[in-house]
Formats: sequence, C-alpha cells, structure tokens
Amino acid sequence: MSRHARVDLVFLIIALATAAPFVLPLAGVATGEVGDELRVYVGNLSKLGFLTCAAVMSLMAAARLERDNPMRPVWRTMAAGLVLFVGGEIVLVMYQVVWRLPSPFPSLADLFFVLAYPFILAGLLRAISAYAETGYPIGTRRERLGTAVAVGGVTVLAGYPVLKPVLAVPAAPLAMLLNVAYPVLDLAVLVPVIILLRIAIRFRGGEVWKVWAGLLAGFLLMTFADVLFGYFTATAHESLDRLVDATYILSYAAIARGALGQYQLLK
Amino acid sequence: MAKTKDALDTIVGMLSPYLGETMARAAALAHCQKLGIAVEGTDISREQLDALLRKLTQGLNIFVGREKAAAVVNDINAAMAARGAA
Repeated sequence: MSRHARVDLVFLIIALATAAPFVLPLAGVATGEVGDELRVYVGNLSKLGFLTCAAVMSLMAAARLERDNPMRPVWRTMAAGLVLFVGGEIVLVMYQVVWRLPSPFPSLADLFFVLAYPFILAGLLRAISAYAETGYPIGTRRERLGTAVAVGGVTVLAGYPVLKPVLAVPAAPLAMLLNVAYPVLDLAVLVPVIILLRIAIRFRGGEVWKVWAGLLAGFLLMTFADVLFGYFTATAHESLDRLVDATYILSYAAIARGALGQYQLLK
Repeated sequence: MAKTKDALDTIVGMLSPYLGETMARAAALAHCQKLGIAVEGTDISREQLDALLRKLTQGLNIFVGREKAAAVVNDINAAMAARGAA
C-alpha cells in the first residue's frame, strides 16, 4: 500500500470513528450517557481538529507554491476562510466542552462562520481561473458559464422550499438574518463547487483529482449539513441534529484530506 | 529520434500519477495539435519534444510547483533516453 493510500485509510477510519457516536443512535443503537459524553467531546474536538488540519495544510501548501503560481492565492484565500472556521469552532468548543453550556444562537461563532464564506467563495472562483491557466483541455468558458447558470437556477429553485419554513418561524432579527444567510451563502458556494467538480473529474485517477475531490466533496457536505441544520431547526426536528453533526464531521474530514493531499503533492 | 506515438506513451505514463491517464493523454494530444506535431507514423524531433514538454510543464507547475514539475520532466527525458538506448 502506498503512503498516500495509507493516509487515505487513516483519514477514513478517523472520520467514520468520530461520526459513529452520532450515526449509531440514528440506526437505533442505544449509546446511553457515555454516548452523550462522547458526542460532546468527540464531536467538537474532531471538527476542530479536522478544520485546523485543513487550515494549516492550506497555509503550508500556499507557502510552498511559487509567488507567480496561480494556485498560491487560491490556497491562501482558502486558508483564510478555514482559519475563520477554526475561530468559530473554538467558540463552540468553549461553550460546549469547556463551560458545558449549550452554545447560544447567534453567538460569536456565527460572526467567524459568516466572515469565512467570502474567502471560501473567492478561493473557489480563483481556482477555476487557475485551472484555465494550465492550458489543459478543461472545457470551454461557455461550458463553465452554462454550468453556472444551470446550477444557479437549480439552487434558486431548491432554495425556496428550504427558506420557506425558515422564514415562517418567528425569530429575533439577527437569528432570522443568519437562518437565511447560511443557506444562501451555501448555495452561492455550490455554484463554483459544481463547476470545479466538472473540471476536476477530468483528472480522475491522478493525485490532482484526489485533492480536489476531497475539497469539493467537503464543501458539498458542508452545504448539505447547513441546509439540514436550518431546515430541521425551523421545522422543530432537532432530534435529527445528530445527522447534521455527523455530516459536518465528514465534511471537515474531506476538506482536511484535500488540503493535506495538496501539501503532499508539493513535497 | 523517437516515434512520436512512443514518446507520447512515455509522457502520458509519467504524467498519469498526477493528472490521471485521461487528462494526461488529452493534454498531450491537444498540445501536439497546437504545436503542429503529427502523432501517427511520424518521428518526433528534439525541438518538438522540448516544446511539447515545455507546454505540459506550464500546466503541471500549477498543481505540483516548479521544482517537482522540473523533476517530472527530467524523469521523462531520462525515460526517453533509456528507450532510445534500448
């Protein structure tokens, strides 16, 4: 087994092991008080660990690339977004693990999370330009524009049923703003993610594909988790929060694997 | 001088671990076309090979950095030389 394959396996095992305390109760397996404790510690610390790994690896990858390399600003911008995600996750860890309190909504964590999105979005858009600069056959500009229009249309259509229950539930102005902002920002991120997936899939079988498959799968899962969170909260299905937590863990693990893969590619 | 098709197979084999075989072949063929290099039943000159590798490396740089891309090109040249010697 190659070194990269071993790293993949280790990542997969850790991701599944940390998601298990959230998935098992959904499958009808009683986990009792131990499960509750595990979910607080493993859930929060694994999310923080994966996000920190992703942020550090993105920064290190950017530092290794030459100044004129078009992927350098991509990884730097992505790292800035991921560092903000780490900041938000630290706030949640303080509430839930250190002070043993339910984290309020909205909180300082939301400021970090919302501020992260423009960086992630900018990083993904720059990545599309960087791919185009390779001179490799990645499809035409017209194709990419067509994908953007199609995905944009679908997200607008999908956004309506997601946002309708969110808007119907009475909430404080800031909470309402955030309830709307998260799905909207996620759906905005979805457009470059799908364009990049269509480009990156042409590299399947190579290390470049593994890097971007991890990263983009992570952002897809994050969008899914955010939309589920907003929907379940608005429709009073908080019991399904465990599914949301498991999805976040797998999302952050995939992003971390992608960023680590890029760093390994440069070594 | 090597057969163009053999040279392309060597290049594709060396680039595939990074780009995947489909993209490695598609990129090599696309650049051959742009550089006016005929693939079937022809020999590739040193100048043509250098020009092709230069184009492919410009793209590879973006993903793996200049240093590693240069190492890959060295490996391709070494493999071509070994093939020529054999």
